[in-house]
Amino acid sequence: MLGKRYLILDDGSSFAGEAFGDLSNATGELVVNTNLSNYQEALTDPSYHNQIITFVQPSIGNIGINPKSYESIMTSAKGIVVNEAENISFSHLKNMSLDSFLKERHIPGICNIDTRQIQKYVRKYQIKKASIVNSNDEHAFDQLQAAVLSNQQIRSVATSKPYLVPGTGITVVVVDLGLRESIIRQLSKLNCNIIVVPWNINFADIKNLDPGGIVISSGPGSPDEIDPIVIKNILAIQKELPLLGIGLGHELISIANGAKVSRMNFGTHGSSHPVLKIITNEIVYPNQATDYAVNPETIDSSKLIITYVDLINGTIQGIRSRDYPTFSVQFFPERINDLDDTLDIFDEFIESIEAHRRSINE
Amino acid sequence: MNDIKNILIIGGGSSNIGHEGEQDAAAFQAMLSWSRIGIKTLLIDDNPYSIMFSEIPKNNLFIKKITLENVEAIIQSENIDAITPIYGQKNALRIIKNLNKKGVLHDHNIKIIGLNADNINLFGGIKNNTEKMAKNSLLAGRLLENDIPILKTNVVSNFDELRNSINEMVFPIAAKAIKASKYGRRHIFQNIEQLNNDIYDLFQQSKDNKVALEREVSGYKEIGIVAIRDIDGTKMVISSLEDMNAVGLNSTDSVVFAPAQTLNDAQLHIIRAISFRTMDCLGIKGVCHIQFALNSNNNECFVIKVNPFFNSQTAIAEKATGYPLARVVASILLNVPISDIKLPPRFHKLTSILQPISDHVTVKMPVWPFDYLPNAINKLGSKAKSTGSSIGIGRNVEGAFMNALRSSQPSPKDVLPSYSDLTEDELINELIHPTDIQILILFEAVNRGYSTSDLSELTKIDEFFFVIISNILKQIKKVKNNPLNPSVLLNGSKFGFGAGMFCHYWNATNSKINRIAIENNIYKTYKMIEPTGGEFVEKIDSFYGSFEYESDTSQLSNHSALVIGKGRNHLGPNIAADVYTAEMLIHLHKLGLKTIILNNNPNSVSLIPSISDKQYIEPVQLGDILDIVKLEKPEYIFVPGNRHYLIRELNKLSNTKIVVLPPDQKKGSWKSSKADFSFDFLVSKDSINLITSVGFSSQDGNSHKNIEKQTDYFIPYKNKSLNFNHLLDNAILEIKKLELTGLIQVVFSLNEKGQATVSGVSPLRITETLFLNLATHINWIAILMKMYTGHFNIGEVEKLISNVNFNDKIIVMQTKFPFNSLEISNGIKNRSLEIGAEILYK
Amino acid sequence: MQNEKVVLNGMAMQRALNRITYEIIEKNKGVENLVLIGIKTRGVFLANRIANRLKKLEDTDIPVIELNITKYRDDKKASVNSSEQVAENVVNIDNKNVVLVDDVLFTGRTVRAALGAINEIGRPKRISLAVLVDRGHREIPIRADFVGKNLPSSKDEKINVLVSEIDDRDGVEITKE
Repeated sequence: MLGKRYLILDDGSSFAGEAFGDLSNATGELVVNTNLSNYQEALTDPSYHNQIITFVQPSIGNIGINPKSYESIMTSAKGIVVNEAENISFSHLKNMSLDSFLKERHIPGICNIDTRQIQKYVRKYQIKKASIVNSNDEHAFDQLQAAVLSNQQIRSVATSKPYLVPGTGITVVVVDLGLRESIIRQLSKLNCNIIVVPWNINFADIKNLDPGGIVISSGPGSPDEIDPIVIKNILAIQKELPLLGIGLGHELISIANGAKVSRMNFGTHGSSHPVLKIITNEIVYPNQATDYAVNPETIDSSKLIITYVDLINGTIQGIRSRDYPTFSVQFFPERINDLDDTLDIFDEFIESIEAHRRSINE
Repeated sequence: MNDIKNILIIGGGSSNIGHEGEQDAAAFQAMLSWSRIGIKTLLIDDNPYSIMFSEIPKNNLFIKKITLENVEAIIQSENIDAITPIYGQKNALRIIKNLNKKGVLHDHNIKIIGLNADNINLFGGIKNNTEKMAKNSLLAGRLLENDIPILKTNVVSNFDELRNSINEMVFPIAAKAIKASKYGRRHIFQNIEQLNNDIYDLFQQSKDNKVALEREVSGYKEIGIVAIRDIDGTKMVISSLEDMNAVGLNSTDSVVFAPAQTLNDAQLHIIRAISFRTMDCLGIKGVCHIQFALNSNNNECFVIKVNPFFNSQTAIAEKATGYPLARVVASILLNVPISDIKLPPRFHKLTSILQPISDHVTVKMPVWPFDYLPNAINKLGSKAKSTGSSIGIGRNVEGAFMNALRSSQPSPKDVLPSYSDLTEDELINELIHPTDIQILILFEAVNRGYSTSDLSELTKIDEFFFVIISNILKQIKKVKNNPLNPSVLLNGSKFGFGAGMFCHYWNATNSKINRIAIENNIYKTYKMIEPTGGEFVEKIDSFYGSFEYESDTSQLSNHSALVIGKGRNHLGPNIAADVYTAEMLIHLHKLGLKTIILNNNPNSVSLIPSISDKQYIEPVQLGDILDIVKLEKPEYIFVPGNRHYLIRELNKLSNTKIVVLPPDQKKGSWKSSKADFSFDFLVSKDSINLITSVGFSSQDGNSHKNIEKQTDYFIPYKNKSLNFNHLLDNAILEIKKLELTGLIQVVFSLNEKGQATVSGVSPLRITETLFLNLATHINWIAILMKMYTGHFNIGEVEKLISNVNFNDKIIVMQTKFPFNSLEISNGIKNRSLEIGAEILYK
Repeated sequence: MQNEKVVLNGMAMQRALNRITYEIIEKNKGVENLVLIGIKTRGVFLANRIANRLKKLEDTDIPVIELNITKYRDDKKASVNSSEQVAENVVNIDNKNVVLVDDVLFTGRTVRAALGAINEIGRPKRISLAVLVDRGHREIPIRADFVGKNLPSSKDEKINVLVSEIDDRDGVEITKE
């Protein structure tokens, strides 16, 4: 029999549900994920560090946890909130059930929650923090109010040592701020020789690796909490090498070029928003997972061109430098599969590197 | 496309297996949105059970057989700007392809909308709905050119060719001798050894010494994608659809889940990307349904069908997501980009461009005609046999599944039939060779303790679905073992168990169950069927039931009419009944009532959002109706006459007027089963008015003139040797003996001397009511609605009747039967076995 | 039978044009004073596409001159009618930054002819060259500033740039004669 659990919110409201996964209590930012097929990817995506994920998909766990759907081998989410939790594992596929996976990773879950109600509530009252707890008493709410979430998230999710993912093509350095493995998957498919480096590496050390181009990865949390060395590196890199930023990487490149980033009233976590690619007028539906957005008024149009815009909330989804082969996107262009509307951003990056090489050789 | 002033729709013709009201519903919505911007819709169709017929201006309607010649004649006489095949399936595609080929469209400067002229010829080669993509067709060629994976057929005529192609073959392989001397069976070769051993025999069997080899994909998952694409190339998936059954069993006959339940993110996005590429390379501007075979172990997939038109799968996608698909496509056809489409105010302004997401699950359950056709082979396979389907929507998979299953069952009592008396051998045979009782067999097998993985291997059905069935069975067991337990009542209700099931297992009355629910604060709430997953505030009027705390709706009005829909389509007057229901809604609304429809047939026209004020997609079962009544407190409930149990129970309600419509065909009084002709009357409490005479005939020599076999109808009936005035007096005398009101038919038969006597009196049949509407150009359902809501004016009706003029023409309605589709060689053409009809003029 | 090989599909060609567009903005420090000149036939379509992209990004209309270079070709003798128009959609190019656009850069003789033709129209501040494909084998000291794709090729190969405006699809193909 499942035990009773509560999801309590920072405005004092509480929702009763039942326990699954780990039985510990947890506090984190409450976000709502509207993807209908990516619970394993989200759970293992470091961008969700410190966050409690509510899934709009009504049944979660239908296909268990499989060895091919990891976005990182670690898990980052603080907890998950679901409507119906299916406890399914198929031994012939060598996968494990969501429930055992959560237990193994010490992630608490709460199920039999009306997640539609939560989604509507969170958007109406702009809820930020929540806890999954055993009792919804005053003490629990006090703790939720008092809880300070770590702002040193990158230190917990990003690599502290450089490593190589060998390939026969162009050398690309990936600065890891909380990497999604799909970035590596896509660069590997393009035969890149990938060197993943820690976030606090010096530009001189990057240059010593003689890369063709640099990727600043996605990652969790606020860009304003990031050590200034990353900004310093970006300023140095963009003058010399093609640079691609994704997610948090995009926010930091924007900041380095004079823009400001602010927290949105409610983040976007899903694939339902149309995003306009301005140069060709194409509309794509990329995977988004962000709580921050570059503030359009702070864009210095003598330095940056806006390249992608979210047609639903008007947020900037991509920028490009006017002066350097530097560009970045807020959404995640990469997925685990190898066919998608936005994957060509990686081709674009490699082609920029080739063009850049040609221009410096001449 | 400002130059388009009118659009010709090629209709879908008579309903049939795999073709119900779904295209009619989409066309109706297109007509509405086009008329709003001043574009005229013209229609050619001969299906009397079309909602379009009563709503389209007479001058724009061409009731003719849908042939190349007739369409061409319309083009010659009317000044047509655009023509579209997407509301008429493959026949419409073929006609437009041929018009294009003949140069008729070019000569008259007519645009094809839905897909462009260059690509329409790709689709002409496909003959019927059920056939897989025609091998080596133009379409296949185009897809291959664009790197879209399809199943290629390799024809080899000798061992040299075989050896040359063997390296690129992937096993298992299906092989078939071409022009085989005896019945050519498909051979499945699992590996090269098996092929080596038997291929020689296949060459021998073929008269041409040719063998066709193809990748064998039966057992792969069958996944559908319904997507749209606009003039700018913007593409969006409306819904993924997962067949419970693997490739090999026709999708129309499979349980379908929307969205797909057992695919991971990578698989879904591969399929999505291939769908988009397919639509791009075919230049589709409109809607497209693409069917895939997917090997979920290695993500390999093949496109097996491309349907660039509305069909039953697009209907499921629309009902499941609440996305205004028909409306959006109507605008796409006019080259409006998806981002610029304006929707009615009940939608959030960004809904059209937001890729739909559902926070609920939708399940489609097929329904078969075999109870009526004991001679038909009920084995399921690649050819569709189901006559209809019901959908269930729920906040969890089990709930959606049970809602759909309850709706598909003939019993009004929410209890599933048991197959516990089957022997082990019979059960396993049913598992391997599924028939119409497949779902209940799966329940029985899980119940007997077969492991989910064994069952999955036997049936090629994903293990997930057996886990769902097992969850449901465990919950049913809890219900059986815990009578009157409130928490079991709540959890069972969350799993979609109907009130009838609790009554049955707990041996309790409905009111007893109701009391437990009220005492324990258990009540049904309703969630909006909307496409944003709660992200935006929508005011859509469609709802489904849940047992969660929050409700998305409240009472619509204290002056409302609840119309109980027909549910799934069987054989008999089903599609006609659905159109009848839709007409009721339209006219009740015109009379100032707020209208509420309850129905669960995804192909239904009565669920078109704009013709009622509120839609409930729920089982049409007593408990579910009472829940709605509790919330809506309707002034009227309209209930179909064949739902005797429902009528009896609903009549117990106080404060609600129960109107039985469409009427019960079995009510009436009969002296003889012989029928030659009839008089149709409108009968109110204090008036009887003759409308017309109707003649009957039969399609296969019915010498006994048995009324059930009189399946052709014509208006008017003329017979100079009869004294009609005298017969009318007789008829009116007979009517007065009965307490019937509404449309009443008095049936006569002729004896050997040619004298007529009354055979019986009964309410006018549903199909004949629609026929009467067409023949008289009077909407009799509108008049019935007035009669039963206190708006009846006999003077008005008399004036209408006096204006009826048949202009010396005879209008004929010919009933259609599904015997060909079901491969029945000598089916008896009986009224109760009809699947549709055609109209013609003589 | 000719052996066709697709070296750039439609999507890759779109991407190359996107990148060239951004590089033009980068090198010219914006789009002020910019004039595009397309060499007929396909160069004009490509120039128009770049102009469309610049319009979407910078909300500025960039003029596109259509250049007819037959008169200036050194490989076609005498037969040229000298009264033939050198250019259509002509705007003033004096002191402008001109980007000359062509589909394939091969020997360089076409570009040299184009430069001659441009002389007839005016005197730009600077002329740079954008090509979708650079296939090598230069016979004249000319090089491109913006290159979509460098494509080493043998002289007996033919490189066809397809544009959907006239060729029913986008792409670059190599055929062997």
